Amino acid sequence: MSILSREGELKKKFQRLTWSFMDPHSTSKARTCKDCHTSAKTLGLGYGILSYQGDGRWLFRSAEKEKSSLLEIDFPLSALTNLRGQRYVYLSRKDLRPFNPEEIKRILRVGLCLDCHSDFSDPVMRNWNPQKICPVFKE
Amino acid sequence: MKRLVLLFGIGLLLVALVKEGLRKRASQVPVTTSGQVEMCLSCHQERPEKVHSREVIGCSPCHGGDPLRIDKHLAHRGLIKNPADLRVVDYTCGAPSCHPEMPERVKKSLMATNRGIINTLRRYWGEIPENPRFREEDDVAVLLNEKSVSSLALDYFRKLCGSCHLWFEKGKFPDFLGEKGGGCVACHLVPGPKEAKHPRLTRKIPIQNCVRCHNRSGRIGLTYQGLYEDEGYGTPYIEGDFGEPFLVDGRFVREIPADVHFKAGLVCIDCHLAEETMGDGKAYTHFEESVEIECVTCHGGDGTTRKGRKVSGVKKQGNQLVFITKIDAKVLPLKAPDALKCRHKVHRRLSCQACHASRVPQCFGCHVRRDPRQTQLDKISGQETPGAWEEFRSYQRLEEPTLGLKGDKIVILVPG
Repeated sequence: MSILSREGELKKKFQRLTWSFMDPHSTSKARTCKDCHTSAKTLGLGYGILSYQGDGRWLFRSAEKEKSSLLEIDFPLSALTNLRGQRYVYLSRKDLRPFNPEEIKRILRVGLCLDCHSDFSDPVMRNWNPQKICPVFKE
Repeated sequence: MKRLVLLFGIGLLLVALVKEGLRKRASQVPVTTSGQVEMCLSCHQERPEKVHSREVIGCSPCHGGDPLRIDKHLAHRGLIKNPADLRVVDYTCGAPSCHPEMPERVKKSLMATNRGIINTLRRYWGEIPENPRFREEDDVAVLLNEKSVSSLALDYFRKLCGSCHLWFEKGKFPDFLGEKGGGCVACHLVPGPKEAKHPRLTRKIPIQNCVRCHNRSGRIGLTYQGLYEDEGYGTPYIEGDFGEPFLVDGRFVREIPADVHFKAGLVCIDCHLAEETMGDGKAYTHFEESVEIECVTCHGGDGTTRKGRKVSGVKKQGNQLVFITKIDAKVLPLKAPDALKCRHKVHRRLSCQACHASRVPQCFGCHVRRDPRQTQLDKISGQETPGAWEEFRSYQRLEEPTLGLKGDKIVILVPG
């Protein structure tokens, strides 16, 4: 927010990025499993590419600059958080929060299985057991 | 002397007789079915809808004036153009024999107070503590009586947000603003037939009435109908001019898939109860305290909201629950959530919207500037006052929603 003086010069400014929650009123058939379980944007990391590094490690490359001197922020504008759990923005209510790193990893791990076990029609998904080790894909 | 007095008396009598002879008279004395004399009806031909019909109610219980007078200037003294305006509604719509419980309820409702908007705005701008609490003073009714504007956030609210509340005076402001507000009629008024010469009041609120306001911020009124306010280019060119449809305020929109409920014929009031829209008598700060309908109220539930009220559209037909729409009385089957996908233990924290809302407009980076060298219309006071606000954004997208947590529920998060 910028407040100008009577001379048209910057008199005062402050900056705050806040996210809120809502029901968009765009109800339709459900999103696919991959829509959530493989999407950096859905998980709050912002626009960019996620790649699996093995041993439960993920790499996220933002489509936006990590720092913007123009916007005076040191995080991508579309992101709420990062894989280390750093929170970038304010949230409009006390009980709102982005996913934490553990939750993000848990959600993404399901995404690794979706190429072979695409949805709940597959018994692996129907009987999902987080302890189970995949005999094919080496985590 | 005696003759003089007699002549003066005769003159006075003649003047009185002539004046009486010239006086406009109704051919009959109109009386309403309740026995009230309503001389207004001898001149006025307007015909409101049946429940407020002229024969039953007349004009004056709503519009004031003097119903016993036939002279226009006397009859029209104290006339009220819009009886539904919240400034007069206690004595008009809220009269003891009409809807006495409504004015107090409506004035406490969020659509009248705008408490959520005011509170959030002031909190975001650091003018009040971060920890939200109920603040009586965050209310349009309080701002209406403010002699001077005490904060930047309130100045911004008055100029950029101040036309979307029920205290807004209908017809007072120019252009599209003239259609907004008006107390009860902000929602309940629809055009009447031309020959009726009077608009109609209705309980079947068309979506257009709601979307006169619910088209900014989350833009839910647009998204629901399958409209997206895009980046505003207006293209493609068609016959040399901007080809995109646009809203009354000039913003360009493009078509997107509409909400399935809209496609099925449901409008806002099919889901949102009277207690949500007109208030339930309690004063709330935020919308989530007021909204009581949930997806599971109808899908899997028996039509009972989280506050224990019944959704009137949910009915039993045979062994099946159906939904009957308010506008067209369409009978729709109600599907319960998928027993496997929706009720699976791994998805127990998901809100329905987290999966079933496939797109949401997202406005990244909201930039606001105030220039004191220009003036802008304060929509609360109706005065043009120093300081003009401008809003810009970094970019806007129609995109899959980002998810996060509210308490233990996975919900949709958006910038804003």
